Amino acid sequence: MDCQKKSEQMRERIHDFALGEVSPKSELELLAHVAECEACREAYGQAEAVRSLTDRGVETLVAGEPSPQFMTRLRARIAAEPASERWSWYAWRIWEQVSREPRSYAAGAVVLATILAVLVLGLPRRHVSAPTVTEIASAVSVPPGVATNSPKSLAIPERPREKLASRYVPSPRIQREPEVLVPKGELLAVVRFYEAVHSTPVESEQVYAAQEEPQKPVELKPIEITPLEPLAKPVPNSDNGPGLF
Amino acid sequence: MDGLAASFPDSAVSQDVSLEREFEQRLADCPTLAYRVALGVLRNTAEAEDVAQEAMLRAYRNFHRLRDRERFRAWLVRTAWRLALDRIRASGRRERRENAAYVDSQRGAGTGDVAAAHEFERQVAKALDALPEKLRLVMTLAAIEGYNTGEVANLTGLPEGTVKSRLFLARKKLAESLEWIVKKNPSR
Repeated sequence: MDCQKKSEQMRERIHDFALGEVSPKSELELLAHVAECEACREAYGQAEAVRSLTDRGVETLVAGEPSPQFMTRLRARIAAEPASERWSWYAWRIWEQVSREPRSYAAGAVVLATILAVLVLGLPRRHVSAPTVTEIASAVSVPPGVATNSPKSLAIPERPREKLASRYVPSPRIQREPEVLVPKGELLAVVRFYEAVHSTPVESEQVYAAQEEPQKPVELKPIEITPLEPLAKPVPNSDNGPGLF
Repeated sequence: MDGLAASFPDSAVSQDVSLEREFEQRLADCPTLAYRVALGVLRNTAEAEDVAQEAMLRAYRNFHRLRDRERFRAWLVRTAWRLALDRIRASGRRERRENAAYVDSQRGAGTGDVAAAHEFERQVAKALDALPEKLRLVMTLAAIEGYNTGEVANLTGLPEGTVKSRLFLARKKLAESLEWIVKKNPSR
């Protein structure tokens, strides 16, 4: 059978068959045809030669072995890997172990809770108290009216000093604002000074005016001068003899 | 908790030892595969060695993350292939590679055949480079694995039927490119 004139399609199929396109259905049919048809046999042989040649060509391109120093270099590079890489290796293995164990989750929760408790409860607290103004007990007794002149917001109820001392417990952790000690009777002046500093520029006259008590004007009265009276002459006593002169 | 804490490090270390041993076994037979894959792309022995080294080093770094150890060869092949392609693209050495002395060897060719062999290899390499990447990978791996389509399917993760059809398409294109050489020199 000569299919030279029959069809180009058969030759195409033979060509593909030679290149490896094998369909089990048509394989036997094609083999039988190749055995009978000389032209197709020739086409098949040619296609197979091309296939074998290309295969060998590609094999040649990828054939070869790495040099003998390849493994030495590779081992040296692995040994020179940074410690972090090795540690990540171990860390990964440990993590795999831990993650498979249900108890590890409970342990992790306990550790987390402990850390949170320490963070929330264990941190030192900072107490910031407002500045206090205390009057120094003056040796000079002041009339009660003067003390009532101070503003109530800053007035501190007087407590016995013993009580204050007993309540004061110095703590290294608690930071307190320093107390401002004001001499007795100058509380109002300090308050005004404070307000002036925080509101308008300070004028010293205002401060002095607040510091000093209002003085009464001195009343000047004319002095009465009475004329001196002449001294009376002593009367000699004749009965007693002459006097000292 | 004490038992738990004590049990982890030992088992982890013992697993590390087994991992190290397993990687050592891979080291014995896989470098050649990585080297050949790289050589199929780069056509330069020194560069292929560099790429194979880099691929093996990456394999070492990430070996512990590989859950299916049986896929190690496929993983290494993909890594070496990508690294080689990256190197080609990064340095634009395609032209240099084509002009290079292919595979630096003539593997027993006679003196008179040296020029012809060079020319033929050059043409094969040119035709191979002209293939689409999917076909080129299958063709290269098939040549490395002795045209065992099952092994190529394992390495690529493709169905064997797909490997066969890609292999056929690759051969057909190569044959179209090289047929004139065969016809010109039928003694081959």
